[in-house]
Amino acid sequence: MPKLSTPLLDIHEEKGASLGEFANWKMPIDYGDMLREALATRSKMTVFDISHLTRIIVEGEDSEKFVNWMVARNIAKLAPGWMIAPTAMLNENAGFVDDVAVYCLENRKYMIVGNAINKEKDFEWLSAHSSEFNVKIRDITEETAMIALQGPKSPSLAAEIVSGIENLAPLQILTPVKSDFGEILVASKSGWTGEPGFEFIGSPETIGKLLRHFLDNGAAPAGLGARDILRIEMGFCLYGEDIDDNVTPIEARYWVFSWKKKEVYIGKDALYRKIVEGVDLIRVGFEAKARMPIPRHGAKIRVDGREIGYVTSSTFSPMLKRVVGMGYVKASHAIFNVRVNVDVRGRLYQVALKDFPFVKPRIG
Amino acid sequence: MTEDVKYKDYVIKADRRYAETHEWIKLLEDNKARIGISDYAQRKLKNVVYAEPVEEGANFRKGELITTVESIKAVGEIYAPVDCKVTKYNEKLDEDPSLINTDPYGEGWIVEVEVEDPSQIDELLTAEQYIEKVIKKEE
Repeated sequence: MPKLSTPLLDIHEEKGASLGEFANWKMPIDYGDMLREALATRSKMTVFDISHLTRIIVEGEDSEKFVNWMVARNIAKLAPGWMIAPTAMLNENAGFVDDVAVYCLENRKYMIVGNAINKEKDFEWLSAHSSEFNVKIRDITEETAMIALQGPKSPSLAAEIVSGIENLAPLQILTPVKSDFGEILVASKSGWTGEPGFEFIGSPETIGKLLRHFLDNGAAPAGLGARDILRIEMGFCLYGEDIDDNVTPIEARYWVFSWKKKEVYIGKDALYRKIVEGVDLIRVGFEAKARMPIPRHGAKIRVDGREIGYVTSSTFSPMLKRVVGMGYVKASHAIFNVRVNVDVRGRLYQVALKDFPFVKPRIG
Repeated sequence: MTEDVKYKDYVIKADRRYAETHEWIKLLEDNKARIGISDYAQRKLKNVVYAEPVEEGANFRKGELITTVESIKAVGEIYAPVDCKVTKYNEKLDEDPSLINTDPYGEGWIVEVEVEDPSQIDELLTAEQYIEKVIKKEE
């Protein structure tokens, strides 16, 4: 029984969502056909409920110094009205505590948005490191809702509600912003699909009205199933599947840190040591070369019988009409276009190692 | 001809029998039969994207694993509802595995078999029994 539930549940039930559990949240998994929902995102526009994401406010006199110590990108350069994504909180070994987005809402006030699965962990990690800093940390996840409007047609629909939003630069935010449905806490030009899009955070009441409006005006509802397909097509990591405390941004080839950041942050030394000493495993993508079943997390990658790595995420791409996925292989074998095998329940299927993205993003 | 049985959104066709593992089997002529999965099963699986082909001539005892079908989120195991020998695998599933979702009782059939003992089919569940004993229990 999931402990938490999206506050927008009634809307999903009305729209015939298939509900399920994800990271301890009751969420819409699909609305009847996750492949169709993924395709609709790339061809027209869809709207996702992402209320399950962790949202934590960090404010106070030392908030800039504190957030700069906690995350790997340069927060001193982050001005109100902007967000940084992706970045990460790393541990002392440069392993991922969580990959996050950091929003600057106003001077000395930030919002950190992290994975649902790390709700308690993110709050405890921030709190545990805050004793020397004059900051207040508040988890506002359960008081707020969040939706993402994504797809090539999304700018015109978003602009009807928040005028000027279509002219924002990528990662630029409006906070707060008035709308016909009430005050929206944050409207941002951002997303996790590779398509043009926007994300909205606010009270469940306002975001619920916004969601209904989008659904009534041409956006199809899309669930977490479609969201997973789209992010794998882009080669984006999902915490708990592709990255965790024991994986660093170097192995993951996930550029969440700033090379130029002079300030020290947790994990900085370990990160640079990884670059100097090298890594043993590297995250790569793979693309099916023939019909195959979807390998599940942990499926072995082999070449000539020899184990060279393992799968962490995989799906069927409706855009490419083939199985794609990602995993980690030995650095010595991480060569793109080489054909290797994935072992699915004892049978071998040929794939080609590929870099990301599999589907060309329309943005970024 | 008995009516198809509806339970909630699911259609359970009355012209065939069901195993507790969600396979249906429909007798054709000459001890031949077709095997597929029920509307309830395809709905649980969601988008089927792959079916593992089955070799013609392969023999299966009742309860043995014939093949697997894959959806984005799950693997569906297809068990032999009776003792049988595979005569045909539905090759249309190679091009379009979603037939299992869109037409689970028709074009989405999975294998055609020779049934050794057709009376084994009578031992299986009717549509109503499948709903009572299997679907309602799982929910």
